[in-house]
Amino acid sequence: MTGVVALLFAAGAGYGIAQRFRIPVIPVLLAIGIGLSAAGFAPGRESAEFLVEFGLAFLVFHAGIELNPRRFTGQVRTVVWVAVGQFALLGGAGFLLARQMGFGLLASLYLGLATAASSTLVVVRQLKAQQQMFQPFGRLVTGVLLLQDTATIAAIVVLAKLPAGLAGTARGTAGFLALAGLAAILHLRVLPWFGRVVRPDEELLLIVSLGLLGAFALLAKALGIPVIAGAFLAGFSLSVFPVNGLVRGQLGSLAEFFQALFYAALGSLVVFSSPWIFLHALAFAGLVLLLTPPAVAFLAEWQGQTSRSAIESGLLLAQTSELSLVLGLVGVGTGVLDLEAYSVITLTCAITMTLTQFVATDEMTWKVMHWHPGRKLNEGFAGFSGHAVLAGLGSSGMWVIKELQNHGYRVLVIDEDSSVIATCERARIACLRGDAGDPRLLRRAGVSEARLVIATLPRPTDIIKVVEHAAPAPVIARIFEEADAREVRRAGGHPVLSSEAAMRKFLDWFEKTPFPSPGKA
Amino acid sequence: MVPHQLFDSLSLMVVGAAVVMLAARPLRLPGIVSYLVAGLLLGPVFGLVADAEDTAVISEPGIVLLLFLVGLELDLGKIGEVGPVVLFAGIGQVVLTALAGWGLCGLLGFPMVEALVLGFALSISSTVVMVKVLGDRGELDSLHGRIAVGIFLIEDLFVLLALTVLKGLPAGGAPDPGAALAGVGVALAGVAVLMAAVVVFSRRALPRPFAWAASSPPTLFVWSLCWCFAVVAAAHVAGLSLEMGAFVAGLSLAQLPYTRDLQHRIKPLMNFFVAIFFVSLGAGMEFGGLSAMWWPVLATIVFVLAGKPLIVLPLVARFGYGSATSVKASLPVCQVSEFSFILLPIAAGAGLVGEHAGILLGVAGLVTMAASSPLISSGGRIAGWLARTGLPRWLGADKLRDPEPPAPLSGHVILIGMNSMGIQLAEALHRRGENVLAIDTDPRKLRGLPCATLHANIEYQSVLEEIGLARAKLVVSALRIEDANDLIAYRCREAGVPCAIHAVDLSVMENLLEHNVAYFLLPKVDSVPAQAAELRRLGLLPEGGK
Repeated sequence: MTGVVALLFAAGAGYGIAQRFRIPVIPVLLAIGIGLSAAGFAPGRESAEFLVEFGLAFLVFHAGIELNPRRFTGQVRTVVWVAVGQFALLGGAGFLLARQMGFGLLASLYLGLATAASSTLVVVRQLKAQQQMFQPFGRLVTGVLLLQDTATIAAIVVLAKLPAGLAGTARGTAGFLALAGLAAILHLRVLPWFGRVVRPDEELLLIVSLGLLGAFALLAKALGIPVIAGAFLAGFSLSVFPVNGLVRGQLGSLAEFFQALFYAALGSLVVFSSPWIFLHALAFAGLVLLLTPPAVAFLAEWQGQTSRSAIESGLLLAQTSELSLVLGLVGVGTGVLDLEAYSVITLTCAITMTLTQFVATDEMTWKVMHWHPGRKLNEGFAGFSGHAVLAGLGSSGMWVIKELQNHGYRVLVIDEDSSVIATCERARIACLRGDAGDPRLLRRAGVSEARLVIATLPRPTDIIKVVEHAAPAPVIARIFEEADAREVRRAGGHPVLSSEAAMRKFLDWFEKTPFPSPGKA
Repeated sequence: MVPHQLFDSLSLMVVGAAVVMLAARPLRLPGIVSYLVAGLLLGPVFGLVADAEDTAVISEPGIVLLLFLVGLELDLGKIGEVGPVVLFAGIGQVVLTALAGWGLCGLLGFPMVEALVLGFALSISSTVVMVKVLGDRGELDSLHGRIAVGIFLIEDLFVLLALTVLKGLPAGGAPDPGAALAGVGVALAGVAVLMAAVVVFSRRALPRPFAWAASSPPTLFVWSLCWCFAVVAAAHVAGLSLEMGAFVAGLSLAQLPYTRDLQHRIKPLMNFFVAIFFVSLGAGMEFGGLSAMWWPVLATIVFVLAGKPLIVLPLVARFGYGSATSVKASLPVCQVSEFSFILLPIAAGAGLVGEHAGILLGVAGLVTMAASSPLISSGGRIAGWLARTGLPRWLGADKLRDPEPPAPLSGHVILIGMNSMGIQLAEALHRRGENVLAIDTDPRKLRGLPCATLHANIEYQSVLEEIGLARAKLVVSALRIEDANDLIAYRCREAGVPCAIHAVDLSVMENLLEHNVAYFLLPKVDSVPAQAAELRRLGLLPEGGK
């Protein structure tokens, strides 16, 4: 227990450092684990490996709970293309790079697969922190992660059984599919009923969820497949509403606890027996960072996403997955990989996860957009002046258009949603499809020659771009937060606080509504 | 790769616990009973968990976290109020029960020294069971809860002293009174020094860094665990029990403003480890030789379940508390402590007890732990029945008026998510005279609000009970998180409370409509008239339009 407590203290320091310098906590924990090992304070190898295995099973289980397939209905085709395309491209490139470095065939296969998928833990955390989980690109990315995790788990199952020959591999695959079928039945039928009818309290919910994890882990073992596969499927089975919501709170603190120990323990297993380990890791990290964004962006845009969404998705997915670490552990366990190769995988993971926070930003997105070869623009457009520009139409914009047209304004709409553009075209309203935060599009729309601009974009930073490029035309901007409204005002815009409008309307309703006595509703 | 026995054992234990809990749900048995039964099935009955020792080590953090949570939930001022009764009843309970237990075991045929050791072991009660049952019922901070916790802390001191004396005994040899006394003195001094050091440090050094960490819930959570284990390590170095260290650590953080959220976060972690603890306990039981000892075991069980609370009742009642408080403060002692399972092997090593003592204590311990949970949960009914007999009053109860429990929140408006809209709603509703409770996970967003506030995460069911969801007039969510809003709407529908939800997009309304949301906050749509008004103000649209 002393080693575990030392890891906990180290993890505490890691969280403090990460918060102080606003960097992701995972690479800090890895670094601290490496430091502990170098200083001789790390727990014994057995304890560290147990923590890694147990912690990873739990973390993968927890990640599986968030991957509800219903989140990306409506984007299935795009998700499949992007997920499969990224996986194949990165996996193939990683394999070739590993061969170039002198790794054997099977070892290169492991390294290639370790490069192919992105990190569910890091990406979901980033999406939640920026409240982008339910934006179109957020849904796309979540769907891609689900498919990639499933593919990686399946690959782990196959690779773990390879030493047993073709028959063993077939048995392992069959076992995985059987377990997946069970998870699907629980997801679709049993657990929704459990949440609605049984109405478990907190303790029962926690124990049943963990019992499910334990049961799947034991079944996986009985079927001869890696425990991690069972853990993932157990998490997936719980990802149905309302169970995932009820369970999230209970499992969240266990996830935080195990994450703290897991990454520190993982770091303590890394060996630095030669500088080539670090150089190899840098090479793989470079491959992931340079290849993933363009590959994903191309595939997503080809499937109908806007350029910006596509590029954002690509940048967000530019890291390797925590499942790569499991791949590494399986490789070490089957004797295909040595500890140095495992260290390469771990370091690649640490480097790419660290850089996600700096790479997947608005600024980086716009920089990449500058290099974008072209964008779809409405060919029928001719330069306007003295017109009204609507940057973002959304669901309430048609009313504004009618009002403006009734008062003689010529209206030009900029929106990235193809269905909005189709509606405008049917109504013979001039429109441009694209990102209204793109300065080139704003210039093409002639915002600085407009009589007025109404900006109803979701991101305040985009609205400020519109205000800056539209000057001297007045910009009326719909803004939610007061702090953002102050920024818009400072830039010269005219903010309309939507939160205040909603509050006033709510109060009208509240005052007119008779509420039942408590407990009698 | 690591051998999987420990992982497999843990998996079996949680599966067993889940199955038994689900099967026992119609019987409304407390969780502890289910865990013990699961352990018995996995261990002695089916032999699926061969060696429970490894998992017992894993479960040690559960006991530490349990006592940490107890400390976090306690108010130092309120503890001070019950100081005299706790000291008197705590010391009296151990002494009188040990003597009575000694007499009983002597009558059952045990030799004198063995009977004394057994008597002492029987006098100690299980903090884990008491805290778990009272905690689940939200009664830890009640008057009887505080008295019970205080009594158990006094018992812990006796355990500490007993361990100190026993560990100093040579194997099979005669004890050295001087060395034993010196050990006791050092132990008591250690407790005092530890408490003083921790309290001073927590008042001077902790508030600022923890205030900084509070803006990131995971950091605050991990730091609080680090603090807990740091104090536990210090207690261990000072020769004190891990549990005492954990309790002191929790108490030192209890005065900080962020502890409510911490309590909710620590509880699931504690529940997990405590479940493993009790399953391990059940799995490690051995029943060989029981058939020859059923009568002493039965007598011991009756003594512990009925006799111990009846010994404590007059000790508490003489302070004049109400009958209900006196009975409910006495009931929690009706089981054998897990500490006794630690004491006994040490006593055996010193040649003080034999094999039969182990069987007696093991079986009695298991049965009383299982039976005490529903007994403690039925405290109200038992108190009512005893009050009708007049016994508590005859013993001195009902001379004082027990403080009324605080009136629960009712008819209030719960407001979740202090973004701009949430803050404006909180201020506006408060101005209208509504009883508003504003909730957010970031304590900075709650500063300066005129209404009642709570730093908490509404994903925890315990938070929903604390905020009185079922008795609210209305729940309003200003959050822009689809998942959280779905869950809030679902819980409100289950509780029969109307809710108003922020629909960030029209696409999310379909899900929310299934949960009978009463009102949708639609800033994008609701701001259209305001946009038109701004256009008119700037002269871009003529006046007089809509």
